[in-house]
Amino acid sequence: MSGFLDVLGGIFSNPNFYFTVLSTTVPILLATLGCAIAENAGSTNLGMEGIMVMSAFFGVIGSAYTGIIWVGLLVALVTGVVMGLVVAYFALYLKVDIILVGIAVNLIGAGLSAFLMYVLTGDRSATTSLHSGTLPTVTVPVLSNIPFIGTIISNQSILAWVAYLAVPLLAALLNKTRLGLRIRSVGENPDAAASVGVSVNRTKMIALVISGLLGGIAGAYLSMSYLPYFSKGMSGGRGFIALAATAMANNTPVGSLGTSLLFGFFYALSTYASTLGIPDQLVMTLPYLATIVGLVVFSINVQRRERKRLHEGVRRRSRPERDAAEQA
Amino acid sequence: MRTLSKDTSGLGAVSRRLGAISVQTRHEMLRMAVAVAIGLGVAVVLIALTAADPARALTYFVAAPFMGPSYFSHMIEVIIPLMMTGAAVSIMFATNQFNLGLEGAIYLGGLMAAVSGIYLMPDLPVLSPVFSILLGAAVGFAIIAIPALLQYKFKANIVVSTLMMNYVCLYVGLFLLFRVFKDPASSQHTYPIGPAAGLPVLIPGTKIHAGLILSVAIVILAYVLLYKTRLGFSLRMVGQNPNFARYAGLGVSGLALVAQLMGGAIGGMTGAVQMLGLYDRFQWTTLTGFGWDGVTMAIFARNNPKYLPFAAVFLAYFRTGAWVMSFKAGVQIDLVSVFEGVMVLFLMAEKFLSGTYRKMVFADADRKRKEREAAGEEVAA
Repeated sequence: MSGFLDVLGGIFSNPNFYFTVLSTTVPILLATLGCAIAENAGSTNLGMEGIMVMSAFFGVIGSAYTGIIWVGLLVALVTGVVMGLVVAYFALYLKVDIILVGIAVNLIGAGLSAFLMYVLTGDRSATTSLHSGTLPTVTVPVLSNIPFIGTIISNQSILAWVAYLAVPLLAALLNKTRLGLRIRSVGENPDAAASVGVSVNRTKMIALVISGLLGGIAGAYLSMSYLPYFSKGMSGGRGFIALAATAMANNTPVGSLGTSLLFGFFYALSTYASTLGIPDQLVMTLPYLATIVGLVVFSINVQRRERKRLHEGVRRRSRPERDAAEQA
Repeated sequence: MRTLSKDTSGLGAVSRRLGAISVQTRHEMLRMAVAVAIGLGVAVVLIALTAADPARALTYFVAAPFMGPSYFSHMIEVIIPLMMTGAAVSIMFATNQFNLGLEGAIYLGGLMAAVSGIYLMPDLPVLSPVFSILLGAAVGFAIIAIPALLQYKFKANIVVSTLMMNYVCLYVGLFLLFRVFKDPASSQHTYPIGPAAGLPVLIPGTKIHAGLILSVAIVILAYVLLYKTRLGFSLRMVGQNPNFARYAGLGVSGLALVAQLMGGAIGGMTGAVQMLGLYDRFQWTTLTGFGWDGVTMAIFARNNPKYLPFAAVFLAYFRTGAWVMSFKAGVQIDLVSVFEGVMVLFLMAEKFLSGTYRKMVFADADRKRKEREAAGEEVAA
């Protein structure tokens, strides 16, 4: 047992572990932020998985065919936005249930990327033959000299910086801007929002497009930073984890950072499982179990809050009645 | 209307027969036909643009099941899990709960059925497979019970919790496969399942197994349950209008829970049937995808088990086509997911062709008015 704790201590005191935590968190964080903004507008973006796969694939293709990695990134972002528009069009204008749109988008994303991969490259499982390259990493001069922290944050992908900076940006967007207020009002009560002149469908569409854009960045990170190629089904359920992470975070960007880091932590830990002597398969269940537990805790809280509000509402209403009764 | 169609010969009768179908149904049929046409169109265009020999590839895609007995039997094999998961999801979705946890139930149901066939009861003739399938059902029931109960007790979002359960099931299953039940002589499978525990082959020379009978039985039972019993009526009422159901005195969340549990049991059974019908050893290292197929099936059948056989034949037909095309003409089988996804989108689009619907309603009303006027004139004369 003490041997186990020693190994665990060794892992936790190693800055490389935290470097891995931060880099495995990036795609989950981006996807979670994407799901969070859609969820704020009252739309569950179950299609995040498909959006990520498609962007990852087209990003690699764009980069390989032009030889410029930035074009690849641009293609990935455009793919994400287009997919967000597709989700919005079917869910909002053709009135398909958004969960079913998500399922269909995931089917199409997984199928089309694998199909086109074979057509364009002749590969069946991964585009390793393309040599599509990776996006540059960033090392901030002064910060990288700090002993422990320097190792953790140096050489992270440029998209990792984008992901972590997106947290305050999205928080500001949702809480400080007119658009953010509209997005939240549409999610909270679409009828009330419509009654004061907010176009519900257009606002939801904007939220879904931002969601798609974030999914596009997540896809680009997967195939152009995390790994230097696209592989079949490379999103690996991160789009679904994102839904869970945003639910646990009550759809706030800052909360999303916390829940995504939790996942990144367990992901990173599972890569060290073999040195710990625990079966890696069981460690892999931890993030998912943690989500279920977190979801339950969150739901209990919501229910308690609602009950309390209901209770207070009843008390407030009953006071004037009591006064009236006393007067009589 | 019906009384008018006394002469049953000629075009007039056909058009009157068509007239007897409500406008809504006719529009539904039109929409379905257009959705299927769009899906097929996308597939055909993709094949035509990418295949080395498009004519050959397309022939396989649209006619493969009739181009060889082994292809036809493959189609029947594909139908079995589609029917079972379709029934499971139809029951679960009938209460309007998006339970996406069948994948996990199928995976662990298959694993436990295999374990039962290897260790618990490998050699009793009829009893072994029956016990294994029931064990699979129990496992599926237990797995779905977790997210379903969390939804029932704490209102924990069932979409999210079932998606998470799928991964928990996969990794627990992989742990059991690699660390507990693996045949040390192999890289990734268990010891062989006892010969008596496998499902018997129905037609010699093919792989069509007794699971076909079970799948038909389950679809019929699901139909009877949902459309011919009081419980099924309550379940559908909960799905269609939970508020009305509540005012009618139904326990809404309890009924939703019951539907999830039944679906879970059928899901576990599907895993068991697939495992015992087609494999000698347990060897799944990824989720099977049958759970998602069940969702597609339920969408195609509009949650009505009556239409599941049609949907299953339809999907299995083109899946077989894509499968044959993949090794005969070098077109990736993944094409089929694109085809299915596109059709799901258009099939479920409430507003798709809504302009045509309006026109059809007006045309129908016009026709009825004219008929009434004509009848009125006859009376007057």
